[in-house]
Amino acid sequence: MVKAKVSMNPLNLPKKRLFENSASIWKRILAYLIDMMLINIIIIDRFKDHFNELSSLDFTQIITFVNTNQELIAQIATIEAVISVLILFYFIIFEYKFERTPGKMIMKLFVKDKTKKKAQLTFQQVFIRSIFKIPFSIFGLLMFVDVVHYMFRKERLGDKLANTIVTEVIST
Amino acid sequence: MRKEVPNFWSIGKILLTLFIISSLASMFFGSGNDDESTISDNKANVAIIPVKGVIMVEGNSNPLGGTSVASSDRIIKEINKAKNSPNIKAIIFEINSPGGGGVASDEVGQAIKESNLTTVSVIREMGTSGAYWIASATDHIIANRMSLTGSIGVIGSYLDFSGLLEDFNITYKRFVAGKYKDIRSPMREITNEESKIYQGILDKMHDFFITEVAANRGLSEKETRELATGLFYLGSEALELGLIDELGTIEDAKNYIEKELDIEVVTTEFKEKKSITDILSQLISKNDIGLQKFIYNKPQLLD
Repeated sequence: MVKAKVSMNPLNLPKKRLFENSASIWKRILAYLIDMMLINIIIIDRFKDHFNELSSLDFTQIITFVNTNQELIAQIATIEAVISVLILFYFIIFEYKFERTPGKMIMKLFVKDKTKKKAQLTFQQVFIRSIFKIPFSIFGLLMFVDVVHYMFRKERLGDKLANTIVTEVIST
Repeated sequence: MRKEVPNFWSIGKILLTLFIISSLASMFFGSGNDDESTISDNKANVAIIPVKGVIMVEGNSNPLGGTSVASSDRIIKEINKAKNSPNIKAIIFEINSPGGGGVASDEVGQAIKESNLTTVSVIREMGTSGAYWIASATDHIIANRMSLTGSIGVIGSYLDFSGLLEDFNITYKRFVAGKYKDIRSPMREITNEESKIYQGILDKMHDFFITEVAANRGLSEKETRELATGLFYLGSEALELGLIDELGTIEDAKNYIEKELDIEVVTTEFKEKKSITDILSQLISKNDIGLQKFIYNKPQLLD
């Protein structure tokens, strides 16, 4: 019995071509927001009870309350540090294992080594580019610097130091 | 490490792991920090401070069951917070305690009197001995008709194992410097002389207790001494004897404060939050008084 070979391209149409290009900033921002939403659900929300007291206060009341509760200041600072570390884990684990976070997966973005596109990202690279993404604690300052660097150099400081690039796949 | 192709399960596993780690980390920070109470709620003008469990100087309630402890350190801290809060005008002490240490009860009683706030006690199931000492320091005492209260007395009983040791041919080798150093040791029989000394100490503590209750309740010392047989009374009996002021509940306490201060009562409760480290430390807690009261040499105002 002869098995028929079914051609996947019977009309000989040109195959789909995929181009990899530098990702647009809007896609990257959207990917980051998606990641932050996910981080909010799985990480930040776990700690919301500790901030219940502050949630019903306005800004002035918060300042007064925090200033009269020194133990609380230390606790808030510690919680922020812990949240920051957990967020760092999130970015590091996903970018190291899969070269992209869930947000980037949804936006079809990839993180690549700038010079050797096919090379696996090293832990160092992933770590360096991730520490600029955390909006809490002292990392918030790094994030600010990262954004300012992008505004002037059209490249994230994190990407520059880690020698990485974020690419998007465009198909024709 | 080769790049992995992400699939739903691998992504899910990572997210779940992060979720679990975050939850555990959050539990770790659930501290017994009293600053986490709702004193920041600037609408509240009456603080409710719980006095639940055996009253001791230190320690926390055991969230896994077993003996609960009402720490005088914590209660006094909460009283001071209420005192220093410009919004708080009164304190309601919600009491459900068999009593406890004399020092702890006295310290809380003094703190209540120095607070200069309107204070009301609400006795639930039990407010005896040291807990009654604390209640007596407040301006107004409310109890249920079936609440147990009173028990104005001191207990210093302990188990004497000397006979048991003898049965097992175990000898207590006594080495002391200071002849009363091992007074009330459960390992030997107490002498008559030591009994008299110890009883004298209990009587002195009893006198302090009686003096405080008499002063707090506006009773004569003679009247108070007649009531201070160590007997506990039902709320209905205590009302007739002048040991409490009213039969009722927390709602009656709020009504009393509203009448006294002419305010609309908005309460805030001081809750003691437990962190996972507090919970773990309670598993090997020194605060479980179970056998302690029969083994250790400590007279207590305990029912």
